[in-house]
Amino acid sequence: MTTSAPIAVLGPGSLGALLARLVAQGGQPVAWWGGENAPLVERRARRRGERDAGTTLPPEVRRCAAPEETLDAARLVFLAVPAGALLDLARRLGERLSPDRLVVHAAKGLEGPSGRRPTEILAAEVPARRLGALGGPYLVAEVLAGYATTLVVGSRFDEVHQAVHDALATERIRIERTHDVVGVELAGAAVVALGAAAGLCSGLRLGSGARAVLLARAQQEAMRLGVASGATAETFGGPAGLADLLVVTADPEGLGYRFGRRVGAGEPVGSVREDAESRTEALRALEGLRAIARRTAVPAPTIEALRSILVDGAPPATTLDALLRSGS
Amino acid sequence: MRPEEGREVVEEVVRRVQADVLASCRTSPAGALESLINDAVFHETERLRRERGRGREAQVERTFWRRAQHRLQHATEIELVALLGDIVRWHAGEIVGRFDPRVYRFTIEVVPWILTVGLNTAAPRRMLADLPRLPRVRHNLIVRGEIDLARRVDDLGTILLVPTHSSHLDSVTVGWSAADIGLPPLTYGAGLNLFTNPVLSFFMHNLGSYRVDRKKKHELYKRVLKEYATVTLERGYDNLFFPGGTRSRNGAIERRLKLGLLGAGLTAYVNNLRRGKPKPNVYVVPCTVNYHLVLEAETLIEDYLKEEGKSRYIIEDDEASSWRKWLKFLHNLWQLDSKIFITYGRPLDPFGNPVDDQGRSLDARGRTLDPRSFVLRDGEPVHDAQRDAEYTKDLGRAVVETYRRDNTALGTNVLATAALGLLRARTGQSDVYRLLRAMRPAEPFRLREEVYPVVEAVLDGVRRRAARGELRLSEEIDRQDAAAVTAGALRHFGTYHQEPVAVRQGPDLVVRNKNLVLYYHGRLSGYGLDDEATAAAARL
Repeated sequence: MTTSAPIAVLGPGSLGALLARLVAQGGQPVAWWGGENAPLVERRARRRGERDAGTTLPPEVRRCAAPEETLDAARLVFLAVPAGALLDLARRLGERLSPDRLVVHAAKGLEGPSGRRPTEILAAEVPARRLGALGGPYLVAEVLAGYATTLVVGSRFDEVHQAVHDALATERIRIERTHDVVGVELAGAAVVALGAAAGLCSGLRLGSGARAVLLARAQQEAMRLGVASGATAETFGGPAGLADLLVVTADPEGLGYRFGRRVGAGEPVGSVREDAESRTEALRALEGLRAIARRTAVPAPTIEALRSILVDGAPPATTLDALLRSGS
Repeated sequence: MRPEEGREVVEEVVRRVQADVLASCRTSPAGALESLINDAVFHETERLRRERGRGREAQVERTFWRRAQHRLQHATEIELVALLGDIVRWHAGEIVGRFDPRVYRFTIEVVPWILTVGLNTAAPRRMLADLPRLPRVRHNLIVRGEIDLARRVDDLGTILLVPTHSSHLDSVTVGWSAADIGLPPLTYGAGLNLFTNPVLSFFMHNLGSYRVDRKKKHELYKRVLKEYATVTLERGYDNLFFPGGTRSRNGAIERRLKLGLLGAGLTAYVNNLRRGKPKPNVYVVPCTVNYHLVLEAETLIEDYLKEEGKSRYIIEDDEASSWRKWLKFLHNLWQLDSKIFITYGRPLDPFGNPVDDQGRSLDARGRTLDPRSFVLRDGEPVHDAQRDAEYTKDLGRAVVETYRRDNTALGTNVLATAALGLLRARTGQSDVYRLLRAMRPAEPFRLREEVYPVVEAVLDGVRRRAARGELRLSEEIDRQDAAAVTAGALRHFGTYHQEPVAVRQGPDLVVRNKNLVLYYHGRLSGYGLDDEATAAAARL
């Protein structure tokens, strides 16, 4: 069953454009806002002959100059912005995201030191109640190339599951549904954080055994934090958790991965963070996970250690060495 | 409601439940209807077998269910539908309440006056001091909170009043308070055990109560019960029921609610929208009741401790079943000049949003919003069982949060919290069960050196929380020092209960009934005060 109500996609990055493209491919009307500089970015990419989600957008996608324009009669709204940008966008849209809309975010990450999950931010800022989180393993380039994958939609509401399925499911894209929103969001945040951890291991030239142990421990801690926050453990072992982790930690082009690798290679955290190219959600995710660990009183020594290296600038080699020797 | 309207309501309930069941059976595997009826017959037959009732009513019930069982064995599909209708009608007939305005007027105007004068003979000094005015119930029942707003939203729609539940006295006190603040008569969902006493039963019947039999656990009964509440709400009858389902066993404010009946408000609201009713709104009004002493405290806490997590759920032989106990309790209430606090919380819409002073729904940022937009699909209000169940969970959370904020700290709760902190520090046990086992039968504490400092710490804790809007204070807690609060609490603790909770012996406070200490402490649990009390006791 497809709905004829238009679908709004708000997202300046390649993910927003990808979602808009998938919706349009399914034959549904879609309005897309790609950020204030979207037309410029698109023109530049086209001139250079770059193939990304933005440049391949079909003409049926209605491009909007402002996020408000996308909403009109939209019932389903995708917010494809990073967790760090979600609060500003939610505040900007405010009551326009009214209770009759279904709002799904694709922000893998957490707010930062508050530890708020994206749906918690939305619940505090907009009247829409039927919220959802999109997770799962995907690389934009692979989806564009037609590789099959599974996306996960976490929402308390079956209506949201159905609407996302109708909007995005294709022969190559399977939509998995779960009521475990907390699990999808925290698994996603852990994946983002561990992308940087994988880069860190690469920069440090840790062996694959130590790297695997480090990532497995951190993933287990994130799962415990999730369970203490109301998630189910299975979510962390599924597409939104383990599957996504395998993709992100094997992608050396990911922002988090690159950030971690530079720190591991000996660059001071401060100077890496100053580089706009390296701004990453991983740091916010690590801050958020630590906040949740403190709130739930669940020990998370690996996450603590990664945070101290990537946020505070603790010496990577000695910190990880001590951690791996501790056998927690 | 009048008897003729009661019949209409029953028929409406039958029609709706039948339609609803048949619609859901159509999408279920074959035999779903038979299975549903079978479940009802089985549960009812088993219940009657366990209860072994001998009265005429029990006999009639047994005959009905025996016949139902027989009909079920040979029923064709058409006969199954007819049997479903008969069972639904049977349950609706059991549930339906009636309302007699004469009994209502008598109850509201005359009974409190008789009660007050009669019971004030127990406190002649106070009555003399009040002369020439006669004492009034209002002196002991303090009704506060969002009273004006409750009246206002009653004009704008229909009210679903959902109080906390710690005593059978709640039905009386909350019902009286609603009449006192000018709300129309309420339709009650009252436990069957309140109908066992013939006098109380007469009043309950004629004041619009409908019977809720919690022993009937099968699906069909629950559907009928919820539909009954829904239909009465749609007809504009303000409803009252206790969403905790049963009286709090450990004295604590409810943290989990039974969401089935609570969802009736949302169903009624959507039905009102679909019919285009001019006043479709349903407002849920949380109401928090606090007593210095609780009529049935001994039985309730005993039940809690005996079968933690497996309590009997329906207790029929507690203090509330004895008139003597009721009179003694009320006598003490008046004699001690004890106050009962009934706090009306800010009304909520059926989605758990608070409303403003004009009854408009507000979002988390305080902006007004149109509640219809929560249930619209393609511009039309629609039911969606899964969606509505989630909205009702949100409503339940909002009600619980209101209970917490409107909970009133009283002297007995403060002293019990302090005493438990002292006991924890002395025994080194934090686990309640070990703590109770470790206690001596009469545990003494030095009043001046031990009790007062810890009471002071708890007072400080509740005042700080009250300043942050996390709970409310009674006047005594707001103004008195530790010694005065302790003395007031001990006056209450020394009377009414078979064994005093705690007494003063010379320079000591002696804890006599540890279970009741746990019970009265319960009202302040969950605020983090236990740790503060224990830390204060450990510092001594």
